[in-house]
Amino acid sequence: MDEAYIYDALRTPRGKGKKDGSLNEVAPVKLASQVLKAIEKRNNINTEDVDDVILGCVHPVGEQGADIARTAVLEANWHESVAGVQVDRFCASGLEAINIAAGQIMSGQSDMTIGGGIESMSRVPMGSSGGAWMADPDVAYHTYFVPQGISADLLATKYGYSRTDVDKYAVDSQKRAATAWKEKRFKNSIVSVEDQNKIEILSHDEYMRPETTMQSLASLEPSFSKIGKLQGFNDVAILKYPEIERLEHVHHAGNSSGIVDGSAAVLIGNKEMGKKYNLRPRAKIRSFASIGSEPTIMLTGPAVSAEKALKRAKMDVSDIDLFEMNEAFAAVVLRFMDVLNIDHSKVNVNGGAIAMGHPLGATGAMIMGTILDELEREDLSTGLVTLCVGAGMGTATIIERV
Amino acid sequence: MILKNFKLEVEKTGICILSIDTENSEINTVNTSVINEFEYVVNKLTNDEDIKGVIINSLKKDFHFGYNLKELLKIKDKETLFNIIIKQNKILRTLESSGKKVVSILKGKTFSGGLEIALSSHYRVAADDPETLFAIKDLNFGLCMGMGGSQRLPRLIGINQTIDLIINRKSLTASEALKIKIINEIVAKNQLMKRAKEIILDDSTFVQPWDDKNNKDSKLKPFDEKNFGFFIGTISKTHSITKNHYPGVKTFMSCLFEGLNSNIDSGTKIESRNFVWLLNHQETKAMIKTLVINKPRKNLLNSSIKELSNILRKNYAAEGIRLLLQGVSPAIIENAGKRIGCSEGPLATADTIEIKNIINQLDFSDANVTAFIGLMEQKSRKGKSSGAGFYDYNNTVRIKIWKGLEELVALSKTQPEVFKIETRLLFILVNKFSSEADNYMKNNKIEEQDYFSIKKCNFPAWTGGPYSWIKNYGIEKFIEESNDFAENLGPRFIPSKKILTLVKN
Repeated sequence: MDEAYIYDALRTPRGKGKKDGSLNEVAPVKLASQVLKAIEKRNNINTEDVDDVILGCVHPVGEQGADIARTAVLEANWHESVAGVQVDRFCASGLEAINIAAGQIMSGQSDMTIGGGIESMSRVPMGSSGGAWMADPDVAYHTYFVPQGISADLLATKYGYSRTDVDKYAVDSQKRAATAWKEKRFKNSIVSVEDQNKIEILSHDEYMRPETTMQSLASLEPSFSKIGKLQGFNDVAILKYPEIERLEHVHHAGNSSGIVDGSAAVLIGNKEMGKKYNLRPRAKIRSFASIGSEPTIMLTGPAVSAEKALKRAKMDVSDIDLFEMNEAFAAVVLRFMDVLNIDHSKVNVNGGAIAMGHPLGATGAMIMGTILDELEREDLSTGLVTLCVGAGMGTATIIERV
Repeated sequence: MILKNFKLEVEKTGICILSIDTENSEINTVNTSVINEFEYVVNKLTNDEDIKGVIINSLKKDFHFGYNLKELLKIKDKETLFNIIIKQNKILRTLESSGKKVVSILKGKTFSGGLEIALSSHYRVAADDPETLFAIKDLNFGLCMGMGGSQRLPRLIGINQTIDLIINRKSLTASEALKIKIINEIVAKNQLMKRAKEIILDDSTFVQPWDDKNNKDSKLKPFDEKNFGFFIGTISKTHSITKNHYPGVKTFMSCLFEGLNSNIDSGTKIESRNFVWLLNHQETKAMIKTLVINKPRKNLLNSSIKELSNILRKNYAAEGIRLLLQGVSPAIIENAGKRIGCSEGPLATADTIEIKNIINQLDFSDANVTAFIGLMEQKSRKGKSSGAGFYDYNNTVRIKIWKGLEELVALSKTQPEVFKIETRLLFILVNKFSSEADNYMKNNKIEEQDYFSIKKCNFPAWTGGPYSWIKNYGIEKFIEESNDFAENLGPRFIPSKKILTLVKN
């Protein structure tokens, strides 16, 4: 098996995923192509050597439809021989794209690939791609479908995470993200978004609220209490989990991931490609894994996928220096740390999606860049990236600096 | 062909009056012989160039009630049944797309498949009469539409209105039906025929909305932005209410989802397949038999049936307390009760009837239950009306299980699977009903007791009543497991003589 090396990782800043967000005026294909161009420029590669560009995107419809990856390749003016494919593993799409891109290298079928992702949540809103999972009555009944926020509250109820627990986690995320930005820890990975005149549109993550406190969070109403009751989702969750008397709604806008726009790309290649362009491998992919888990509680997959990836790498949890566990909802990370018995000081050390936002299809690739930068900054060796995934899945990737 | 179920008159004006008069029946229904004649009649008149239009009329008091379910249930082979349903749908489709204007005149009850037949005509005139009623309430016995209604209705009145009408099992008067455009016009009863003839002869167009190529109504698509959330919410709501019983509800939603993403022809096929599946579903069969086929002609009850209902509730509540004292968590007890179709869990029921009122249903083996009720009294936890029982209340609104309960009972570390608790609750309800019912009902026929258990004693309808449920569960298995329960938990589980005699029959 060939080694798959990570040569570079770049991302756009995250814009607020609303009509008044800075990136709302930027079409998704432009977000994706700007990152590709930046990868090309910084690594001085001839794009003809790139075999495939794999981009995660959760709502591949409208302007994100018709294979946004190939479209972005063409828009970036890369060589026409570069293929492109869009993948969807819900929130882990960006990481899945990296895993597929790495798999192509490891199997010797490609020499250089891109794994990344794109999501403009302000332009292609959540839910745009429909889906039989929630709307086909047979499937929805069979899987006891509830929206992810209800699953997060179910997880918190079942494992006893109180409103205080999840709010405390959220405040930490904001603090850590603020420190990271203050100390310019992301500077190596951020590609400012520009217009056609090279005028800067956005250069920082604009969703953050560093002033967040326990008091300010306490005033927020739970987000899923009303629909949970009115539309019967609470009862459906309890139908699946009869040991629960009633759902405690603890998640709200302040301790759940933010809705944002953004794109990211990771350059992966074999040893020869590194030599050809005189690139220093920043890390190698040790292993990766995806798993399926119970779909109603939906968000318990990260620990299982992490364990599977660890087993494949013949590693133990204690062999991992840093973790990035996507902050979809605070309770998901709390549960992940409890199951694997990991200290918070090793997890999401620069904050996460609660503070900076979660551009669905892109996040996996973004946090891969984040962990890589941090491993280098702290001169540590191993990192594990994982995300919870819709319909009950988890995806994880282990990297090691070389 | 000699027509036994229809009367056909063709007038010189080119109007054909097709009168339905189902043989040997007080009401119009569709059975296999009706379908065969209907096919013959429709082929004949749609191929007759002299006929301009068809008036569908009833010679009975009411318009029509749809399929004869008793006959359909006798057909064991699924493919045979499917072909019959498909044939009936094809006839209606032929009629509405033959180029003849079809008007139905509606009086009395237009129910179930009767309304579906009416929907396949181009124009519906109804009698201005309080007895004119429209409804499709087949979900009450677990069934859903089988003559294209799940496809025509939403295409005529929209998804939201259709869901409201069907899921909420509404009965509409003529003016209500006109308001949501299920019918086109209301006229005096004695003017129905005259008006129908005028419509046939006027030059109004008569394309069904689903055959109108200019009609691109996006309101009909489940994935339309406006419908999507409503659709998902309705699925969830129905799931949470039916708790995996009453399969007709999910099937109805499936007919909408799958059918509305296609056209009327694929849609009716989808519906027919679902209809056949439902007719072979154990719960649906049990409900149809008890609630439709064996429905008693006369009300033979005496007033003490209410007492029987109370006894069942008390025993249900008492079993909940026994489970609690055995260490089962309140959540599992309450959820088990709701999952078998009771409106509230056993402990909530205990609160509602006042906890101390359960005592007269306890037996010699229940000393600990009596003591526990005394303890609850001491703690001023008496029930709902005093605002404190197994639950906390805000006025009389139930909030959550009383936290102090954890100090009074020791819950087991490993909790039983919920279905085991469901089974135990059903066993207590069935055995108690069976041993007591003859004392409170004049009629001791099991079919009628099944019917009244549902209608008067709140027995979960999906079971088809206690005896139907035992038959589906397996009579011998039920007796054996009841005896096991009796041995371990007390004599209240001993099956009645009536249940024992079921084996012989």
